[in-house]
Amino acid sequence: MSNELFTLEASADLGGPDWLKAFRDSAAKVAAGTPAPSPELEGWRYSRVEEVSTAGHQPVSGAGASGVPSAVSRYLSELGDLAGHVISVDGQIVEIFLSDEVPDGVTVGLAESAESMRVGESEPTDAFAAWNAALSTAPLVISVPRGADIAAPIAVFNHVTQPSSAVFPRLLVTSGENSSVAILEVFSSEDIRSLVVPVTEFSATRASRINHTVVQDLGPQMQQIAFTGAEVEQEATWRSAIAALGGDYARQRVDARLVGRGATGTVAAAYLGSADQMIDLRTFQEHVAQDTTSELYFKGALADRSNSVYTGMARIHSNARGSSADQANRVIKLSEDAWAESVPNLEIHNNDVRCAHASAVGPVDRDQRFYLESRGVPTRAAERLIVDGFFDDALSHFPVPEVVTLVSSRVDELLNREVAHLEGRT
Amino acid sequence: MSELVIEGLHARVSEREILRGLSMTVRSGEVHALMGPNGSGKSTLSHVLMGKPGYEVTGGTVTLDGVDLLELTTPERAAAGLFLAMQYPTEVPGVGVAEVIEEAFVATGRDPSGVPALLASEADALGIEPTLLERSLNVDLSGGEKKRSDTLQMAVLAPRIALLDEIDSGLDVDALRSVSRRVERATSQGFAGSEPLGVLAITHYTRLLEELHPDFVHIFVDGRIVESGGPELADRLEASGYAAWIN
Repeated sequence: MSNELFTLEASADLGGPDWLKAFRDSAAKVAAGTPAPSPELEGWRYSRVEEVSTAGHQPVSGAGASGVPSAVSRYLSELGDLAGHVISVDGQIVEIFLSDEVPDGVTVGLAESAESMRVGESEPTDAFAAWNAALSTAPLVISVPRGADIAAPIAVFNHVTQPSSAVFPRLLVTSGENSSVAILEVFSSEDIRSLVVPVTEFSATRASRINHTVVQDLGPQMQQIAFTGAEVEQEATWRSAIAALGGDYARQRVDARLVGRGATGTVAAAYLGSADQMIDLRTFQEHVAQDTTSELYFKGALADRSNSVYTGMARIHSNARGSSADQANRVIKLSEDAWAESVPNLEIHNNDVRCAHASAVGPVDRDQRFYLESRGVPTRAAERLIVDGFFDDALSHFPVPEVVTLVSSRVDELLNREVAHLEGRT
Repeated sequence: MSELVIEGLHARVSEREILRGLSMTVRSGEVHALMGPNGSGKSTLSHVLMGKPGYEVTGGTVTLDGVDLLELTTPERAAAGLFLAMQYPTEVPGVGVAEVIEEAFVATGRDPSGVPALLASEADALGIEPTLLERSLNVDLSGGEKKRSDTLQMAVLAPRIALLDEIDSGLDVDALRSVSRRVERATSQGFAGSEPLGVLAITHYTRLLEELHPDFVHIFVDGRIVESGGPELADRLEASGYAAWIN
């Protein structure tokens, strides 16, 4: 079997130390042997993966990047206090900064060994993740030693400027026992049509706490196929929050493996679609150990002809008694032409568990709108209040307040886009 | 002096005619009780007057101080001075009462900066816990808290005419009393120097009338008012039930 997404030669052309070349070489062989995803496969149903496969994006080789893009500067000035940041442009790191307040032993930099390139023995989930290992130009590692506590986030910016390119950001975060860290990832681009294939993996060691926030703010023509994975050990907590705002086709898969007793993995998502955009979200919660907890709070709003897909699987393994799994995905359609698929799933192999799932897709609630209008709130303002309020419980799980403000302002922009449509309604 | 004039109002919901020629006038300072059996279409009247989607007016007129309400959208009717306290106030997750009143103030050119203070003082008068003001509208509130919250909103919005739809349902005696006292104060004194409030209270039971002391009682059966009178009409109703008016 083979796929023609990318080539072995593209991987061989990348520079770097010998261990990295060897790692890429072996990863490329795995990737070439992994079938390309198609919408016939369960995990890719409803997706636009074929548009990505046939787009002919060329993997970036690493030349040319220099300076901090203005989009990233803007984020840096708006994001408040950061413990540090990494800026990567077209797959090349252009700046790494760590504040003096970061405890000793915290490392942020390029991977230095094959062992630091992945969590445990984990295999890539699909051909795109496999190609990420083969084509990542500057794999990044953040390592937090035992007991270290970093309150402000470390931000990792990935910005794309080259048209028709494919960029493969790779980040691995390890939190030592009883440590605490917050990671913020921001994906942005110029107004070009390129592909970003990020792979971000977390290893939360015993009793450590990781807060993770993703801001996907790519340009409107961009394609994204992202994978985030977390392995969470005993009494450790991994909390992730995703703001999916941009892209033409933007897919994000999130896997959490709760492998230690009492581990917790939660994911909140706020996503917005407009024009012909598709936001494609897939979650997998694996409850491997007992007394583990997973929670998903997903909220989306879709304008124009945009689409969203959410499919989720919470799987309780036979040894995972005392575990609890909650999944909720709710979507407001701001336009009759918007379309959403929402499929939460549970697979339970132990009786002593608590599981719940909820799913809803519909327009702004008519009774809620009438209630606010009857107080004298004009229709447009009423819809804005309702949609802002709708996102409240998802956004309450976002640890970075500036990101909440960003999402709220984007909600307002979306609603303004719908004004003409709304004012025609009675 | 404000005046809500309803003349020969006909309306239907999904092809079924619910209002069949209803006429009445509510003026500033007057309290009208519209009483009818369950299923007689009383709530339809309140929804039609406020302009809820799904109700079709097929005849008649409704004016407030000469303005044709039926030509206005719901927020415009509210801006014109009409208020509806709903039988079942809708839960609106993530939206607080202050945001709503502030938006309503902005829409009518009033200064929204005083809204929090107004809410706090009215909440105190109505026996509403200050923490309730921080919560989402009607979410996880008891029936009594919802009605107090609606009354609070009315007091701050200061309408000319208030439609109180089964405001007594779900209320305990204490809540019924404090809501009624607030409404009564508005019908005698108005809101902060404005003209007195005119009230159309829609109810099934005579219980509310013992607290609200209506000037006029209307018996509403089969889509129209079949008899109007003073408070004594409520006493007759209490004694005989609606049977006397149903053919």
